Amino acid sequence: MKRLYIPVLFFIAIALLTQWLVIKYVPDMVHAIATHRVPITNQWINNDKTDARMRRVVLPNPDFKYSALFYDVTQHDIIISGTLPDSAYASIAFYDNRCQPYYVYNNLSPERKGHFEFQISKNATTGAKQLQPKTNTGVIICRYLVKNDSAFNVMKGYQQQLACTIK
Amino acid sequence: MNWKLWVLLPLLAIITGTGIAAWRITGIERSPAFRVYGSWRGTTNLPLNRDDLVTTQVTLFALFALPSQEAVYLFASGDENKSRLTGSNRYSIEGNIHNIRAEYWSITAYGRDLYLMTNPVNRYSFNPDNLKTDSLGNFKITLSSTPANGNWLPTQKDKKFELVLRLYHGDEDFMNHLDKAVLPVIKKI
Repeated sequence: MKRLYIPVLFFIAIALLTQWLVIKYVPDMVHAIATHRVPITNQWINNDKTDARMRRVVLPNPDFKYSALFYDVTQHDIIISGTLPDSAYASIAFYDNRCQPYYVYNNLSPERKGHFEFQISKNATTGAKQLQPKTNTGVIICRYLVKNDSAFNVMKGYQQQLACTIK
Repeated sequence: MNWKLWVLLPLLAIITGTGIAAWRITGIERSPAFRVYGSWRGTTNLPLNRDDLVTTQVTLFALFALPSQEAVYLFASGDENKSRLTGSNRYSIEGNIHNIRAEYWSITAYGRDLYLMTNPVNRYSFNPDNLKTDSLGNFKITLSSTPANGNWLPTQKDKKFELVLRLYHGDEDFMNHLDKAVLPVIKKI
């Protein structure tokens, strides 16, 4: 009986550690896989229609037009700019390298409609609104609510105004 | 004997640990972080980055979800009697738009793989802008694999599906008392 004591404890310790590591680091792995699949950084990717053909991300909202940008500020700061419409909900959400949101900017208050500009920077400087991410890489997702078919092209226009400037 | 034990034991432990992690991650319905709100299940306060298990569950099953301050996601995989939603049955979702107090909301149907389901009319969701209601704001959405009159949300024959009720910027009082809110009810027809 005594001989089993150490192996059993060893087994439990390794199993618990493995379980904890898997749960803890799955988000990091998902981000790594997503980054690997989309090797373009600091450049907006505008999705067209959100329908059954869209298989990039689970649970896509068919009422939205999406734009995504995988950022990397290891070497340079970047400035994200664009325009949020005043006719329907739109937001720009910033995610870290664990795919978790750390800042969301939407157009629900009047002062937030229209032009926006964010500087994503490792170091605080002056100029555009500063965002200091916890990690050098991450994802930015812009969501535009498309209320009806006629709004589709309008939102496409807003989507095309999105820009990313390397500083 | 001894060396075999010390080689096999860590391998078995890693397999066991991974299995337990997978069981816990996929067991969203067992998670105390998510509450039941009538036909729906979710939370008004996603503990992202505070609870490792929920953070991983959200990453895998709702990647790039918005934080709860922005949007609340409520899921349904069963009807009001907790029977699994499947395309072999017809269901109705009944509610009143005035009972859902949010800046914007929608009800969307997804396949088991959590992607939108192909259908002949390219209809995947209903929201206050495209929902037909009566003069009092009552609505009825029919979920079926064959065409239906009114608000028809297509499903796929014999395939299981999920529903997601999204609430963007819900009224504070409404969100704080979501357990008492009259949310749309999913009924088997």
